[in-house]
Amino acid sequence: MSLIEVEDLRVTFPKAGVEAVRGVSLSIAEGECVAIVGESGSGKSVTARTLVGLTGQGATVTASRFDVRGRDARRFGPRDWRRLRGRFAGLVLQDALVSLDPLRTVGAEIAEVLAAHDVVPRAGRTEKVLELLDAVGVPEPELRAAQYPHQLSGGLRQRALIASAIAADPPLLIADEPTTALDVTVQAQILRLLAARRAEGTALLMISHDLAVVSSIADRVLVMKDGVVVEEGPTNRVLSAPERDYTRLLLAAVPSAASRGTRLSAIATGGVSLRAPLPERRIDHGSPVVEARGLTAEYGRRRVVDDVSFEVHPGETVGIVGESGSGKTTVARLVMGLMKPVAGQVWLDGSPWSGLPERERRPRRSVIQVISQNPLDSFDPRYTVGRLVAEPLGGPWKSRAARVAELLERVGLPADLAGRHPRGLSGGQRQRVAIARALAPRPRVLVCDEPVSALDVSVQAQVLDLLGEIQAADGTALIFISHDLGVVHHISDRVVVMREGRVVEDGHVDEVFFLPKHEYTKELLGAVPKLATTL
Amino acid sequence: MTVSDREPASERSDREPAVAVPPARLAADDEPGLDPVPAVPPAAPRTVPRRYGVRPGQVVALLFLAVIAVAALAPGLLSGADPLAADPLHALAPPSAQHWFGTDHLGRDVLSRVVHGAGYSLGIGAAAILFAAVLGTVLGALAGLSPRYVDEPLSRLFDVLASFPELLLAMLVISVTGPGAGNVILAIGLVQLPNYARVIRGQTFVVRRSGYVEQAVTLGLRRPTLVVRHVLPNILGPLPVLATIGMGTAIIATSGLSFLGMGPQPPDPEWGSMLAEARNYLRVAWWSVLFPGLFVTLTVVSLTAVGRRLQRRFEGRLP
Repeated sequence: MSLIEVEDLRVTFPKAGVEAVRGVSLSIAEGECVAIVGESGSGKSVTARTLVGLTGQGATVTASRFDVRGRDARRFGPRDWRRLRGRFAGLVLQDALVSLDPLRTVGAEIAEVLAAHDVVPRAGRTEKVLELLDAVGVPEPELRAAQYPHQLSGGLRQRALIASAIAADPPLLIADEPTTALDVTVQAQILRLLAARRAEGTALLMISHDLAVVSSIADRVLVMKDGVVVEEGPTNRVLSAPERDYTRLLLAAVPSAASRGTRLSAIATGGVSLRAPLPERRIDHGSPVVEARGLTAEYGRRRVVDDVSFEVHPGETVGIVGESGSGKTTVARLVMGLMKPVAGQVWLDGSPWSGLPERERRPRRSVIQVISQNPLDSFDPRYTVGRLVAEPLGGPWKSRAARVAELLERVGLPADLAGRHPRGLSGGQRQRVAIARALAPRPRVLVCDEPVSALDVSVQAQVLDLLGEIQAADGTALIFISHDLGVVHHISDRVVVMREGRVVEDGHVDEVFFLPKHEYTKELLGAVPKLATTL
Repeated sequence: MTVSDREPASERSDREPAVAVPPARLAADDEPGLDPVPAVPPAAPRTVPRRYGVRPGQVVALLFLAVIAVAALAPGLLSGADPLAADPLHALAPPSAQHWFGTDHLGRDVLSRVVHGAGYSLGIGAAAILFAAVLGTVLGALAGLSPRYVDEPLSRLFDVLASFPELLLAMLVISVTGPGAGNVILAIGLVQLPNYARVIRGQTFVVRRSGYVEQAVTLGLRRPTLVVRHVLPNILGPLPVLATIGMGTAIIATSGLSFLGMGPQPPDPEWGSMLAEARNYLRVAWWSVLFPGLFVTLTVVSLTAVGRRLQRRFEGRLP
């Protein structure tokens, strides 16, 4: 018997005027792993929540069939749902720090599930909590059970959350983006843990935007877009021989070693997707435009960057990869001259840069520009798009209009966007505005700090393509900081691998990623879920 | 605020890597040319976000303040009688068709005095707030932008000013400067100064560490340009709210000081001094006390109501 059987599920939010889910059919058999993939707004999370009666207030849910373990869930009241949650289906959400009560210890959180469903008698609860923490691979369970969520690392928190989700031993686990906020090595551990639960017979419904994560664990995949299932089938079939153009585009948009030198936003026609080549780039191997020698930086007494050296030539892309806390962003700030190194130097265009007083640096600021992860943060909240892009241009405000239109066109935005506020734009459009502004002073170096991390894969593809075009046309050098090894492999010529403020390995991107020498690089690469696809 | 600013519920529950990607995709971008294979019906148009109704009390408060403002600016429109004309024959006359609010112990028309008094209360309150807000903003921004050795003494100064009970500090100032409208403005302004200075200093800290100020540095803006263009405009947001609510406090303080004889001197029809003069006749002529007191109270309550509304709007709880 299937655990869940849903047909023609529709979820609307009448007040917001949104039809989030429009006719989804889904069944999950015992012990099966089903994945729903899709971009933001595709309705995948709403679908998952509806399955456990957590659609939220103001939602209208209809279905021609909605059976939970053979019982018609359309008649369920709040009490019926409460009994199901935890007992029948455990829920694991993206950010455990939000999902766990900050004022209660991890142990108390798990014990509550045990109490609510009367899993074990009161006397045995403490022991059961420790047993559960041990089962999800939390070292020193006694210590951890007594700690609060903020005292745990992201990985441990996610494990604790999984422990509370499986406390009542439910036959189904629903994981909504369970690894999205985690570093790649931690992600690999959590995925192993989920796979282990599956091996023990727990069914898994996994929600993700990441096709590679899904491919490593799911039996079946549903691809959702705009509230509709676009394609569904066995994971291997869907990922290696997709039938729908949307799936094909989604797969083609994933950056990797294979996609180097090509456009990610492919044209899908007649069942084949073609990645068009990007325009040729010329790298000038003469003198480097940015040269960092022995960079060292500290916050208080803590050394966050330790003896980092690299150089970037005109037209070249240097990737900097590492997990959170490895010092990547600090390197970007040092290169931008926003922070003074305690030792070492950055040379820009062959002359000193990082050690100068700001007054001397100012006239040369136009040479190097930055694009950050969250463009909205870097926009003055009062400014319109036009004003943001016009600010770096010299001359009277009025005469800059023509150049603004030109820059917007260059990044693929309509010129009439100039009067709009960035808040009303999509994430991809905002990042384009940030790029247009960075291009305004005609820089020779662009520092990109996680520029595509907050974007959906198809939007990421467009932004990466745009950067490639700009580089080819202007010969701009790129310093590309990312935690995503696929993105870095796609875009970089050379790569610097950082760990705890130090460079552990650097070299040509193919050399480093295909023949890693350092243990850490190997570990990092080993942890990346691979997308088994022919595209 | 546009429609696209508001995320539909489906997006909010979608736990994507938080930050951006709002739903309102605007044509041309982000949408790869797709196959029409799955019959996707067009999504329903988003309805305009619900406007929150203004509460009736807030409308009444605003209307009342409008009347008070007219009284302050053009008292002649509301009352023809001379507020200073004594008429001992008709002293302490109860409210009647001729004297709506009755007369006081010298036979002066209470309505006329209340109307003419609005100018004193509102004028002194507004002047004091203007003084506090301008000086507070300048000092607060200076503290927020300066290195520690400037910020520290300034902040301690704000702390000291704020540590005195308000009325006590105001009386202290007046006992040094002497009574009078100008000195009341100075006293109340000084008392209110730390409220503004502290908030502005805090705002300045937030703004100067913000991504867009850092971005402005990378664009090579000179510091004065940067401060004028990006810092100052962005720290002034809370001022209207603070000023509106502070105005109420200032009016109470003005009346209080006048009541104690430290404000405008009799026979000027200031509400507080009217109360002081009339309090001896409370048992025989309640109207000479009630109306000035009522107007102080209603003005302050109205200002607070309007201020709260502004505050909710500023904090983004209202569109």
